[in-house]
Amino acid sequence: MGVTRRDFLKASAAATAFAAVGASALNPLKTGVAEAAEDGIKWDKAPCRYCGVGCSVLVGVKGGKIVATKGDPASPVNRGLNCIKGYFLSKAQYGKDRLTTPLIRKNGKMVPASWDEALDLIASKFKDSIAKNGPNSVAMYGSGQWTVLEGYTAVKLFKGGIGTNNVDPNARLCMASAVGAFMNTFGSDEPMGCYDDLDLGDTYILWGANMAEAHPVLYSRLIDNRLKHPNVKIIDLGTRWTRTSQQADQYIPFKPHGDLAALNAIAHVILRDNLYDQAFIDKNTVFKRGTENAPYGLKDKETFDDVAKPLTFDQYKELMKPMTPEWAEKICGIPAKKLVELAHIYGDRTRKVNSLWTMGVNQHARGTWVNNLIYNLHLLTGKIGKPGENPLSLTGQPSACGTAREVGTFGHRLPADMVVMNPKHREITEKIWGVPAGRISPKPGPHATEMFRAVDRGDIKCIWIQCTNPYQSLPNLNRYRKAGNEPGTYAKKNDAFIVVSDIYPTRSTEMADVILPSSSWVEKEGVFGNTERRTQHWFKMVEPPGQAKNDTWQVIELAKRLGHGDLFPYKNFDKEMFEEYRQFTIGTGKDLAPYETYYKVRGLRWPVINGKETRWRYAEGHDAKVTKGAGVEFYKAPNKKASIWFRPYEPPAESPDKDYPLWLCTGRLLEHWHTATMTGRVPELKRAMPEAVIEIHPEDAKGLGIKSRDKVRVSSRRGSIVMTAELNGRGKPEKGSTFVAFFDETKMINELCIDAFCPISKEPDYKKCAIKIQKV
Amino acid sequence: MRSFIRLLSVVCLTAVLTLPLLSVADDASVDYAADAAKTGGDPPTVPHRVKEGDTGKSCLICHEKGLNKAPETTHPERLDCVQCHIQGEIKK
Repeated sequence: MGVTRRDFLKASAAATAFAAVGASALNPLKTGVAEAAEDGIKWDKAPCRYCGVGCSVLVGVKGGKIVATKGDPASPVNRGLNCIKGYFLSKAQYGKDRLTTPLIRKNGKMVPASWDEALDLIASKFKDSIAKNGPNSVAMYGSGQWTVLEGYTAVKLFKGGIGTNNVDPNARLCMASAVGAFMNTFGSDEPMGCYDDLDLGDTYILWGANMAEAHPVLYSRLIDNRLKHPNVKIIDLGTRWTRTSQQADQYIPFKPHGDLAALNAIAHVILRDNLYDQAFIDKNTVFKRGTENAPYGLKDKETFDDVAKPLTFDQYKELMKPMTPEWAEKICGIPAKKLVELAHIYGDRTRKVNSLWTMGVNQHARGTWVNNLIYNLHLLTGKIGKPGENPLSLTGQPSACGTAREVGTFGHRLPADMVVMNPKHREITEKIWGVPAGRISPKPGPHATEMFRAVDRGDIKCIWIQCTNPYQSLPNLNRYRKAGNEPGTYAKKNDAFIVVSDIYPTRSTEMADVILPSSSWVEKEGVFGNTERRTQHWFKMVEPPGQAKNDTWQVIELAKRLGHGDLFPYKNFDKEMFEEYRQFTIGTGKDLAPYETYYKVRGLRWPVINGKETRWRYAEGHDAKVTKGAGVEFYKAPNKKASIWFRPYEPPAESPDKDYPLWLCTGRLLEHWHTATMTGRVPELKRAMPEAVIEIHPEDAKGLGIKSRDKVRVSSRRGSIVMTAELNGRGKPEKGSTFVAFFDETKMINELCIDAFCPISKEPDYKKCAIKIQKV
Repeated sequence: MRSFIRLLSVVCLTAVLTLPLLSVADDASVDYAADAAKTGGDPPTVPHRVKEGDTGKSCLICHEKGLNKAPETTHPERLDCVQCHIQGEIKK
């Protein structure tokens, strides 16, 4: 009969895990829930349209319309739960002003046009520019909200057809620092752990991440873990008290940019107090030092090389000697004793420690360094590659992983961790794409900030923007658009030909020469990849409105007109194209499953080997590529050794001074997704959070004569807006700091942000610049 | 002895075979309608003022057992109430 005890225990554990959180999901609500029983509703699954958690959603369609959505109880990610944005998905696509026809700007007005007219115009502009100025005069700005195939289509046309690497995604603005550190530490992008670590660990240290609002369903998993296991500790390190802090066991405030000092001090104590795992270090790591006194990206066309120099462990220890807790306390404000305590938590052999982070760490002028420093703590203590203890880089967008990072929609990238600068990588790609050798350019395209600077300078003449809103989300907006115009009025101040594909009018469509109406979410078939490497598929469930079309169709129509239609010969488009893309992943440790596998499952975490997903990369017994007996093996890193980088403290790009005496930090909140083009059109979400306010510390406000709800003028060296002050808001900034959420299209706070960026990742620092506030 | 082992095997196998019906396997049912029927509807918005800081314990004061005519929660173990129940039109 062969039922082993092991199988029995596994099965019991699975049953318990489901029962614990999901039990009440099984009990239908007592009051008035008729939806589930209603006739005529056809249900299907899709990953949520919003954040990088990647909850699964059941979508109910009736009469050609989405009439309901539910948290999917069968998903291991969210087990029946959504956050409030997810619960209102059925309304997000039905705003009154949905774009339904192509529009061309004629004599300053947007005039409806046919698809042929719009596409012919775009093609002629692209052709002209390529002929006169070369292929690098055109560009595509894409998105971590692109489906996998939308990203693949764009990359194949631009890199494999036109022959330019001028494709970069908005993920440059959110995850680039994380990617930089994955690559320079482990030789391969994306986490080694997964969401199972949220259930199996006992210590969760959050670095500048307001998970309760930005990754709500994952925070619920942590809270749930703690409910079941009272020894679980959640420690929230941040520059501002939030809902996350409220529910954490400890809130530890630090001064902006101080993470760079704090993390070094913690490593110092781990070395000082012998909390490191020598055997693990010897077997799995090397030490390195990079280029220091790095620039901040404030000059156009600035270049930077992070040149690695090897160190011995002793040399590393010597370099770490000055980074004492007392030294760090002066910079970051965390008491030295507390830093020592944190080091002892990281080094505690009885604790399964996880670090979690997103934008506080990534949107940072030294973001790649901060990522490196977090990995250092886990590499020094050996708390990595083991179930329940891992560093987990949380992803912001639904498919920054699956599309932008895995397909390689960056200026320097190709699929499966490959880069355009490497001739072998170009060769592999050209073969799979069936394009002539030498088609792919070895010259990396510009990163997002540089791309729009190039548009501003006139070096890029044609740019196509899909599925993102850069003219609200870029830092230092007034460089790229007319300041102070009303939403919906023309704002372009350059000569570039700008095409924007979107589903609603946005602050970017008002810059466009051509606006193309796109299908959204379940109006097309698609695949997303979430934070934990889970690839999830959905089928098309409803028709897009009016003449709206898929972004892939739009790009292929341009391809045909540019003579590159032969790049897209597929009959069964989604399946054939995915299978072509999948070839890049086979054998790399990022293996994807055959396309049809994803139809029925609630996603699978790659690498998928012989139909089995991988929960923990680099871990023996879980990752098929790990050598027998190796335990933890970073097989993608050179010599299979992860890099522990020495990174010094260097100051922020701009700090408060007597003219601009306060810090400005920007970010997100629960009710709205990014620039709120979707959530802002859901009445309940708009009512709950109608406008962005500036959170000010009461003492700072008092000194300026400002009371709660007063109108204030907020100014930086780059821009100035009027908005409402809040002294007792949702978040409580520390004294000297302020916070504004960037979702509000009438309060474009990014006009004030500085376009300084991490020299390695090129990701801008949205968390730190200097402002002044005056009562209006 | 042999028959006991046989009986034990049968009991264990039965127990194990029934467990997958409860477990969230990745080859879960594709009967999406049945899955949809299992799970609750939209979380209602809150018709009274939600102060910042209200969540979990403070909500459960009334909503755990349904005091003061407050609806009783079906899911008291979900402690971050405001993640789903956002401020609605204030009626009370």
